[in-house]
Amino acid sequence: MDSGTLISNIGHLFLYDRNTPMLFSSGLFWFLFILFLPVYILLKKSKAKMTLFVIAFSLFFYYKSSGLFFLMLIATSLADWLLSRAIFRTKDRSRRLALMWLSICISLSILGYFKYANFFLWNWNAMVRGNFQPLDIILPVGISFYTFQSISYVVDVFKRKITPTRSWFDYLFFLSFFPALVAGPIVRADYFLPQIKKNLQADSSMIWGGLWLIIIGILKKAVIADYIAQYNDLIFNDPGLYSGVQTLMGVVGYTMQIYCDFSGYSDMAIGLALIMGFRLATNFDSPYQSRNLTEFWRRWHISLSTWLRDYLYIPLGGNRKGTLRTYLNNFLTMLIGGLWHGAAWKFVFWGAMHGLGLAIHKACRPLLVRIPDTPLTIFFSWLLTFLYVSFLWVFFRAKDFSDSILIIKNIFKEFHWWQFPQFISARPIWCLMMLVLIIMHFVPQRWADTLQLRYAASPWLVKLIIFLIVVQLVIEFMLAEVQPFIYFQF
Amino acid sequence: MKRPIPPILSLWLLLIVALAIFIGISMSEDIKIGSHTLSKGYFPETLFAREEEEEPDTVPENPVDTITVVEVQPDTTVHSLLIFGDSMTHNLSMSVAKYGSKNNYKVTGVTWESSSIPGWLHSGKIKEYIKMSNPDFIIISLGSNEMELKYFDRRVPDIKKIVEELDSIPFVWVGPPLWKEDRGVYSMLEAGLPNGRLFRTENIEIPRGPDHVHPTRKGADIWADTLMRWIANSYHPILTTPPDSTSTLKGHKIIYLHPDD
Repeated sequence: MDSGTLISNIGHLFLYDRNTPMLFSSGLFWFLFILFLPVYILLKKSKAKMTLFVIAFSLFFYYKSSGLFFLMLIATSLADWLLSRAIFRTKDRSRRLALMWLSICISLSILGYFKYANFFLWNWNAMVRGNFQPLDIILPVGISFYTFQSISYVVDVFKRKITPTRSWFDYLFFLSFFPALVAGPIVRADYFLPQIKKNLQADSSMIWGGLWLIIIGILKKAVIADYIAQYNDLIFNDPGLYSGVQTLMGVVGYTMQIYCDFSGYSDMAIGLALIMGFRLATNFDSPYQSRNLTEFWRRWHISLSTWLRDYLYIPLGGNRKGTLRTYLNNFLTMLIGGLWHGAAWKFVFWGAMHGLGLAIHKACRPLLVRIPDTPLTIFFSWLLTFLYVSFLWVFFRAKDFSDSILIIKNIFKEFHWWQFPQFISARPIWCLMMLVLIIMHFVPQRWADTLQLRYAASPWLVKLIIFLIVVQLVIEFMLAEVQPFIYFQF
Repeated sequence: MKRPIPPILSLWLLLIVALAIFIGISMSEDIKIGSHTLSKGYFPETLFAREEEEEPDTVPENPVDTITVVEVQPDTTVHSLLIFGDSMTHNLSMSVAKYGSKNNYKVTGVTWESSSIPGWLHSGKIKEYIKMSNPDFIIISLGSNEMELKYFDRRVPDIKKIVEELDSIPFVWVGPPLWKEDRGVYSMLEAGLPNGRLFRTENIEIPRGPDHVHPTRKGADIWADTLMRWIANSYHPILTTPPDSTSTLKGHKIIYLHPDD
């Protein structure tokens, strides 16, 4: 064994590598977390030391994912913090308003440059028939998430809902908190800052409940989502090659994949935070159980939908300016929500169609409430919602509109019922995974809570064995590469 | 009274024990549970792998050019040839079987639909079919299901392990007939294989089936002809007289496995 090679390889692990971002499901993250934990335990009693240590780890975590962009995160946080202090101190409302807009403009300009510059340039050149040369811009990981966090913080300070942190380090801790840094949940200052102040030690239920959530998250992301993704990718990468049944299964597969991928990540983030003594709000609540689109958005990516409601929909006038304006506000909010997901027209279309769906549901509500709840009506309202959401995921995932149309056409044109048994016999593990997933999704919440409590109460050895089984499952199902989380790119 | 360990320390211990177990497994001999061999983590590769030294520019891309300096006589003792791989292999194996008929070696062709390099490595199928066919020469046709990879270099250790599994039986690895832009699959194969073993299926006009991906029977014949001409000049030539109308599939074994077999 060559110690020089060993040292050099370990050294490489600590350097930024664009091709291998540090994910919660990667071995490197857990290796570092094992090193992190004892120091964190030792420093936890002193709030100041704990804060500095977690900031350092979070910035390193961000460096591993985005390289030197961690410096931009530091600079943004400093600017926001100074401006929020100024807003708080200033009595004059118009000056405070100007400062708030200055902060928002800084945040949105940075986001706009990195995420949307090429998109706007491309569209501009298409309009003026110019020769489009894309700028060489790398999108810093998680920028959409922390930008929204910083905007909500500044707006809340302006509205005097919260007082700005005395120390910049507290604010940097809030903005860079590594469990939520790269893919959310979007943490709200009024919920999180008091927790930093209290600096509570995690109790037994938080620690083992946290580990349980991590186990569930790893299962969802690294076992289920990554496995079913292999098939879904085939369908979406070459949409013309497959039969109607194969294409339909790919679409349903992607519907479940994006849920497992993103909610799995959120579970891991919430679990890690719990272990550290911090609570992050629930981000997913069995969204595919929803019976209408409004309910879906109350259950899907809750931290984003509540953010959009509080910082976009309500400031636009919400439902206070008449029926038509309510629909329009809903539509605009979802349109911008779509654009938040990515700089492409397909995301705008996806958001707009959700906005349209929400407006139609709101308009039909007086009629819908008259329909009695019977098993049949419940089933059909669920089915309609599920199909509409799945249909829109096609536009979200496919490369462009023409691929989306090809996929949808393929489902209807090339569809034969007799292909189902063939599909099941050709891909039994994939089908089994989907079945397990659907069952897991429809398990009542109290069952899930009971399982979590039982795990927390089980002997240490049982906990270890369950953890080992889950990690071994990950290794068994692992592709030779780590699939980035779908929501990473936002 | 004995004080209980704080839960956070207990969790830390759990993580350390788990890490130690996985490092131990990754460095130990293969562990079998029934017929299944446990997959291992990448610890040894990550920690102890040496960085590949860049080859000097003077090494030609096609290793045949260097090897044909000394003319090597074809190995006439080959009596059994095993060809295995992904769905691209099926028609190719039948075309190679016709060469077997003409040159007096029995061909066993194993096509495993949707299979990948780690799939073959970890399934135990390579050993199984080597034991079954007892080959003197092996053709591997894998890589078309790896074309979507993001991190090609992570497959390189698996390729090297497959080479080890062949246990010094002469072999060639047939690179996939590209049906979309190559983003690194050939570099990956080159990095994992010893010189002279990689046949590049490039610049060959291969007619493809209705899916525009898999070669037709005729396409596979063209592919096999080019491959066999290349083998005739390779580091370990075998008899490659082209088949004629009397060359059939009789006496050869063509096996087709479904994705979850």
